[in-house]
Amino acid sequence: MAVEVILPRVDMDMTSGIISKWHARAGDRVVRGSALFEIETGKASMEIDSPADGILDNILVVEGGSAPVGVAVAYILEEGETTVQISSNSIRTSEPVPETERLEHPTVTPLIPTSIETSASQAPRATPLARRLAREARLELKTISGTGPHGRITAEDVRGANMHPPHSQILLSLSMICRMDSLIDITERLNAIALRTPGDQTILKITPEAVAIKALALASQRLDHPLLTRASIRHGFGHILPNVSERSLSEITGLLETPDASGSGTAVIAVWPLFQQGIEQAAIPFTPPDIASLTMGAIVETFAPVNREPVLVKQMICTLLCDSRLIRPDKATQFLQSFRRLLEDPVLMLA
Amino acid sequence: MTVRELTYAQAIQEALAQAMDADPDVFLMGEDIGVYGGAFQVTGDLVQRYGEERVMDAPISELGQAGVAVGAALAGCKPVLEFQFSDFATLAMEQIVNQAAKLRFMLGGKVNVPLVMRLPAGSGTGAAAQHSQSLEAWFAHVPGLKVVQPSTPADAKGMLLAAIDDPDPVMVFEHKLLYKMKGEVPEHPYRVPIGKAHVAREGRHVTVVATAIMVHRALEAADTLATEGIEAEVIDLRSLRPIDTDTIVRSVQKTTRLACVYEGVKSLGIGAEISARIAESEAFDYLDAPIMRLGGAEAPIPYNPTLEKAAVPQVPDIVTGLRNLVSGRI
Repeated sequence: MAVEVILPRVDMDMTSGIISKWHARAGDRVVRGSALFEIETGKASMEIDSPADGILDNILVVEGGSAPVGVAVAYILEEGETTVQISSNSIRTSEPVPETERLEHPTVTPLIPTSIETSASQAPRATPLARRLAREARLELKTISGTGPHGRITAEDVRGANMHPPHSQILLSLSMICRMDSLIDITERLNAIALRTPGDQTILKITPEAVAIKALALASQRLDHPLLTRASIRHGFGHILPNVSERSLSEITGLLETPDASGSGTAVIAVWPLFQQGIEQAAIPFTPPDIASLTMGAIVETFAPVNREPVLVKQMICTLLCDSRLIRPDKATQFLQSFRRLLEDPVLMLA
Repeated sequence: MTVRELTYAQAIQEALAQAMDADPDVFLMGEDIGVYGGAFQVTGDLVQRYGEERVMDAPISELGQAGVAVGAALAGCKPVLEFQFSDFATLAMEQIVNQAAKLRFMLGGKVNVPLVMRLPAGSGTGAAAQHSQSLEAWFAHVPGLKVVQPSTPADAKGMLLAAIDDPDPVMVFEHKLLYKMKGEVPEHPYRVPIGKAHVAREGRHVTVVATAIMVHRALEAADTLATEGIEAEVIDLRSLRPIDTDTIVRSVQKTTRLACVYEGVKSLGIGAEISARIAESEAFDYLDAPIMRLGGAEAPIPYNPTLEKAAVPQVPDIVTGLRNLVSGRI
C-alpha cells in the first residue's frame, strides 16, 4: 500500500513549512531513513527522512512551495503499484504551482493511489476533543481548518476558530430600570431574623445578589425557549452555579462566597451583579459557548415620580446582552420583563 | 530522619518474614527457595529463621506445587508459592486458571483460595525466550485471579502483604531487573491496596500509563521531555486486575492524550485494555490525539543482547513516541 509522505511538525509553534529542496524526483527509488526533502520553518531548516522504501510518486508540493503541517506532500509506492487520478480538492496545498514549474511537472492534477482515498474521508477529520469543543461552541467542523496530521482538526484549531468566529455574533443589548426597594427590604428582613435566631441553620444571612440570581434562574426557566428554559447561570467569569433555581437564598449566598461545587451546563448565562461597584450601566461581553450575559448596575437612590410626587426609591439598571440569532428580540424582551417582575416583587418567586 | 533503604528483593523478603511472624498459617514453597535462597536470592536465609516446614523446597513440578498450594489454601493455610520464572506458570495453568480462580465461584462462596503466587518476570537478563516473558496480561484475563505488578521496593512489600491478606488468589509479577533497585521502605508491616494506581509524576500534556520496569523508563523519558517543555504525567498502574480506571480517566481528561507503555507483547495486551477503557469512558470526548501503545515486539525475546533490548520499549523509544504524540505528528 502507498505510504503518505507527511510534512512533519519540527517545532511546537510550527503550523506550515516551505519545502526548500527535494532530494529525489518522482519515479526515483527511495530508501526508508534516507534524506528525502528539506523544509524551512520561520526558525530553521531541516532534512526529513523517507518514511518507507519504494518509489517516490505524486509530489504535491514543489520546491519553494509551502504546505500546512500534517498534510501529505508526496507518496511512496510499492513496486508495481500504480496511481489513479482523483479530484483535486481532497489535497490541501496552500500555494499554487508557478507556471514555470507546471512545465517541468506535467502532472499538475494531484494523483493519489486508490488505496488511500475512500468516500468516507469527505467528512472532516477531527479529534474527539475537537468535536466536543466545536459542538459546545456551535461551530461547524467543516468551517475549521485542521493543522494535525492529514488535516486533522485538533482542540487548538477549534479554540483558534472560536477566537475568530467566521460569522461574528449579531449582538442585541437591552436595558431596563428596576425598582429594588422590595428586594432590599426582603433581604434586610431575612437578615434581621437570621440575626435573632443564630442557632437556626435554615435561616442564614443572605445578600441581594443571591436574590437577584435566583430571580434570573427562575425567569429563564419559566420562559418557553429551547435554550433559556434549561440555561445554567455562571457567576461572572467564574464557575457555573449548580441548580440555582432549586436552592435556598442562603445556599446561593454561600455558593457566591465559597463555591464548594461547580455545576456544568451547555447553555450558560453569565451574570454580573455590580451592586456595590459604582458602575451604573454596562453590557459585559460573553464568549461562546455562553449564550448571554446579564449585567446589573449599582443600586442607587433617586427621586422617581409616584402619583405625580417625587418619592425616594432604590433603582438599578440591568442590561441583557445576547446573540440575537439564538435569542430573538421578542424573547429577549419577554425574558427581561419577567426578570424585572421577579426583582421588583420577589414574593412572585414563591408562585 | 532518613527512612531506611532496602532493595526490591529485600523488601519482599521482609514482607514474607513479617507475614510469617504474624500468622502461623503462612508458609512458603518453591524451587530452590530454601538452602539456596531462591534463584534471585529473594528468600535468602528465611529457611534458617523459619525452618524447612515453613520454607519448603519443592520438586521441579510446577503443576504439582500449584496443586499442593491450592489444596493447602482450601484447607485454611496461606501459601506463598514462588515460581522460579514466571514463564513456568504455564506448566501450572490447570491449577491456576481452572482451580484457584474458579473454586470460590463454583462452590457458592463457601470456600476461599487465599493463595499468593510470586512470579519473577520480564527481559533484560539474557535469559532468552523461555525465561524472559511478560505473561501478566494472560492471567489478568481470568476472573477470579488478582494480578499486580509492583514497581518499587515500597510497593513490593506493601502489595505482597496485601496479597497475603487477600482471601482470593493473587499473582504478584516481579520484574527481574527491579530486584536490585533500592528505595525507601518503612519498617512496620503496612499494606498498599490492590487495585489502586499511583500517579508517579504529574504533568499536563500526556498521560503515560506504565507497568513494572516501564514506570522507571517512562519517568526517565519524562525527565528528558521536561527539558523540551513537554510535561508527561506518569501513572504506575500497579494492578492489572482489578484496573483503576478512574485514575486514568481523570488524568486523560486533564492531559487530553494517552500513551500505554508495557513490556508484554504489544498486541492483545494491557495497552489494548486501557485504550479500550478510555475510548469507552467519559474521557473519550477529551482525547485530542490518537492513543499510543508502546509494547514488546511481536516476537519471542531474543538471546542476542542487542536484539533483546530492541524487543521491548527503551527510554529513547518512549521519548520519541511521546514527543511525536504531543507535538501532533501522529
